[in-house]
Amino acid sequence: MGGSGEVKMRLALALLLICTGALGKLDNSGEFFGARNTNKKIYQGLLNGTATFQLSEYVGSDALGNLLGYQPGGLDTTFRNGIPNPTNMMLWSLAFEKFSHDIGKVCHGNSDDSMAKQLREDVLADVLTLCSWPSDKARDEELWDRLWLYALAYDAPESEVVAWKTFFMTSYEVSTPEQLVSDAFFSIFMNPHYLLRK
Amino acid sequence: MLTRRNFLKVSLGGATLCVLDSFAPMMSWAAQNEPHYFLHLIFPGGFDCTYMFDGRPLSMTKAQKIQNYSGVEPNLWEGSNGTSTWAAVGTKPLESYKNDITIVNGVLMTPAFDGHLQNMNYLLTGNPFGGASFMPLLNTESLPLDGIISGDIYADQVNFSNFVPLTSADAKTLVESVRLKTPLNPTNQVWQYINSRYAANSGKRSFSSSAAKMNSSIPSAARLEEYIRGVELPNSESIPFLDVVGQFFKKGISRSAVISEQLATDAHAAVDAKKCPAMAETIATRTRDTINFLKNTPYDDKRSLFDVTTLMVSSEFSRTMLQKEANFDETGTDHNNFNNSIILAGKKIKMGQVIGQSDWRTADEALSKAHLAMDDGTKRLFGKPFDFAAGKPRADLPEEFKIQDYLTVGSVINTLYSAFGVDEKHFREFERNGGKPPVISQLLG
Repeated sequence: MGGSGEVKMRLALALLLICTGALGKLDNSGEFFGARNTNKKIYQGLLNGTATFQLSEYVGSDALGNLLGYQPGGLDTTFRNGIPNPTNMMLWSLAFEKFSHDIGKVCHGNSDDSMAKQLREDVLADVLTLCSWPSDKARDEELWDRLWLYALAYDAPESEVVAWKTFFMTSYEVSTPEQLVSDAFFSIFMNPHYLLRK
Repeated sequence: MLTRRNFLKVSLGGATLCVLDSFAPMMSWAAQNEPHYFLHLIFPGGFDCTYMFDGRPLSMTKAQKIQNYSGVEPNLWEGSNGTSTWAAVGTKPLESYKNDITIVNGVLMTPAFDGHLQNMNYLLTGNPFGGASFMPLLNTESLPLDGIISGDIYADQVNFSNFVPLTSADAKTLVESVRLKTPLNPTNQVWQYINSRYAANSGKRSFSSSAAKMNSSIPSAARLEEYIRGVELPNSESIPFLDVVGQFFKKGISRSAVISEQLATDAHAAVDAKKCPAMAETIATRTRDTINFLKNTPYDDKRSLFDVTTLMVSSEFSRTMLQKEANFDETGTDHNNFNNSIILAGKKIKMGQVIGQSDWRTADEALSKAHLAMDDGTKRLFGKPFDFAAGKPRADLPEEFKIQDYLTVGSVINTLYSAFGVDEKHFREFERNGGKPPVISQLLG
């Protein structure tokens, strides 16, 4: 190969290495969104403007929230603690179990309930319909589609919502409404398409 | 010549290495039923070991070869294996702990770089540019966490995702929160469904490999929860991190723990170099207190934590004897990647020894050509060549520098691997296919 060809090849190799290095730093796909971004997602999909919900309080503290993935800030662009491990999976489950349980308590019909006051009006109406489980209204597939979309929008493939609906329609026949609502939301929150960047 | 074929070979080879690297800690390890934990005290910045267990007589200071701001003559510290060193003023807190520690001196770090990051990477991963850290590799798959860490380490460790940063206060909150939680039961129907989604989304790309990690983490998360429920921390406002380490070891939650403490060890300025004697004493005090804690904390009815834990105390390198450009009375110190001193103690370590030695032991010592090829002979102590069969420093003066002649940090880590039963295929190598740094068999008891 001639001299100029080799120079081009070396330049291409250098560019590839630079790009790979840069992408390695910037691309966080497959890592958790982190506590802060997930908190935003929850507000965006489920909660109204007066809500006081904070995910980190459900985990225990801001510092423990950092174990779910965080951006240190300043000049440090590295996203930290974003790769799934037993600790953060335990913490996600800890936080979302409590949160889902609070959503399930809406079925008690207490208008002073804290979570009932924090949910968006349309979300609350649909959750209350689901609370009539196993009535026909609560089995309406459109209701289930809406609940899925509130939380996840179109961030997951169709197969996920199908699997979710099928599971609850067939496995929760004898469940209490509160348990059904709680587990239905918990399983959305713990879904990889909800927690991970793509 | 760089052809298209070679270009592809290099690029794809590199890409494959990246993938293999990140999967390295997932490889299977021999099941290890015998309790064995690892505690690493790291003092980043490069501490001056001449104020610790690699001291020099004041006659060398008088000859203006090496500065010693303590002005105190070090004591001869003889190892049970016949090798000796000088214990400087900073080691006083460890005076009566001779049989509880072994000093490894004359340890070479990366010969190619003298930066903090490259040498911290080299210490932890065996590569100046980072890679798989040795500590997660010490974990068998039976413990939920590879480790917990207090403080920061600046290093590029690709396999550190199961090493959890934790403060004592967070650990306390965590224990309280987990106790209030319904136990995570992977066999109940909702968890079976959630796991089925992880499995359905599992694969080898970034998203799908994380889904696979979520799937494989659930049984460990359930065990972790169960163990954390059993953690007993003192009921006080401020809990020493060692108490957390002790509980996480005793309950079988974590294989390793790192306590990283930032002192102003990077003593380029004379004002900082003058603080080194006091800093050395701080390091020795921390080491002594850690040994006392481990000895005084029962692991079970027969053993203390010291009996089941290997302790390592290190920095990324030691420091130069002086700065040539500075006035001797006002000199600071620079990085010395050709010499380091590491303290080892506890399980599997044959204690009371001094392994290895650095050169420049007298003001008129003749240096090897190997040393002079890497340094002009005025600034750096240099690890002496090492006889791995005898476990002693060699007296000969090599003509040329060959890394295989020396006691390197790779040998220290491979010795730890051997102590923890890590598969030999993961042992560190010298750069450029130079073979594996030998295990220092004399270190193991």
